[in-house]
Amino acid sequence: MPLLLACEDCVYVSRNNTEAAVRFYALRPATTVRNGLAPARNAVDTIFTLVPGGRRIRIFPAIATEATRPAGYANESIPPGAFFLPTNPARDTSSYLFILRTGTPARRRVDTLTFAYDRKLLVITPNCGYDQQLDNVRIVRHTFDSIAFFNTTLFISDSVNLRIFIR
Amino acid sequence: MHTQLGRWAVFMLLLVWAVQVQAQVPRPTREDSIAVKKMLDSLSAFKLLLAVPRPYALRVGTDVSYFLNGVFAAPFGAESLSDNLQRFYSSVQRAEVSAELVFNDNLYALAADVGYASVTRSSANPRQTAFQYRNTGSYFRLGFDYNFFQKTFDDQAVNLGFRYGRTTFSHDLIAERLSPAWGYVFDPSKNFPDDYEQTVPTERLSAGWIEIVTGLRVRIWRGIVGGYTFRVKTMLNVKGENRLLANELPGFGAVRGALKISFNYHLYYQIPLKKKRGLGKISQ
Repeated sequence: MPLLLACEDCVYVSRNNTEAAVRFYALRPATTVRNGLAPARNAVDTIFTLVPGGRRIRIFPAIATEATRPAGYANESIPPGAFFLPTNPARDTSSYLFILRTGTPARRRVDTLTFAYDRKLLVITPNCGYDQQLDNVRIVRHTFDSIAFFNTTLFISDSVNLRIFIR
Repeated sequence: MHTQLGRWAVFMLLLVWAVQVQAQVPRPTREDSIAVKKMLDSLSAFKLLLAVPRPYALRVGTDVSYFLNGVFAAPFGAESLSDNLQRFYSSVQRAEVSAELVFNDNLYALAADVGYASVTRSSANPRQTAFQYRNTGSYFRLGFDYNFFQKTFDDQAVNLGFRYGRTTFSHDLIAERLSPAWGYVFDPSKNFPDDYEQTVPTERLSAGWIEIVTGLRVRIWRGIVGGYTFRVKTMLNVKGENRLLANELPGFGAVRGALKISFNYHLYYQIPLKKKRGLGKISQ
């Protein structure tokens, strides 16, 4: 979601995003990956943000699979199965707790993810408010099988920022 | 003997040829003389520029644009005239002292400005993207003006020049951080609730810029000189920026793009440093 909200006299449209577009991929041997990345067959039960101080906030309202777009956390600009992770506007790091179902028969797995970024704030005009860019996005820690940021700056035009690989 | 005669013959031939060539060079006409005189006249300003600097006058004054801006902008605001004036002068404070040391019969001047600026920008719609940006600092400009009408006017000037500007400043941003996912929820009863307000302070920033300037100086009455300066400015660098990017530079103005244009009015008091010249120029 672009940071700026609509104002009557503002013509500025931010190209920056404060949410990371995330998609799961199947972790397969390198020889089978040459035809492209395969989406993982998993479902997201829920995701919590790990608020500093020990509080958790549930951010996924419903089960989302690789073919669905969770309401409020995805739109037509990203592929089915991808979703947005809102970043903490008050910190330079964001931590999450993922509860997933994967495999056949489905088994539950719990993973954590923390990534860091540099926040840059720019005042546009009094009518347009301010804009925020998240730059130098990088993984701090995670428990997934593999993970990689595709772009280190978050833009609204990005289809996927963060690729998470699971078995 | 034959050799000597031959040398004489060659010498005489050369002499005759030289006299003929001399005779073929046209004599300068009256038009030629006028053209040469005009060329020398035009070069005289250049010679004056290269001559040893001789102080002609000192102008000390201030930039009055700040006061005029508020007055001119007030009728076009959404609120009443007094409210608009109050809002303008409470959100922008600026003061500048300017000096121009004029040399060589008003041909060129060294210019220096020193100033202070404080700007506060607030969201026009606090219910949506509430923020307050404050920027305070001091600045100076140094530069040079060349007067293209030195030959025509005594105390008036039509200048073209350049400036180098530098500022040291601090700024901060108070903004709301709305994000239900992280517990920062919008509360319509408050503009800046403590629980989701963030303050981003940055101190000891510096920035530099250059300007190409053109302007006019006219003697209004006795030693009072008025004028304007039209500036085309470009920012060189900003040092010390961390999370918050500079939205305003004292002395430069709002940072919007690569080039910035501004228009300043000045009032000076001119202190003559040289006796007036004689006839030949238009003087008020």
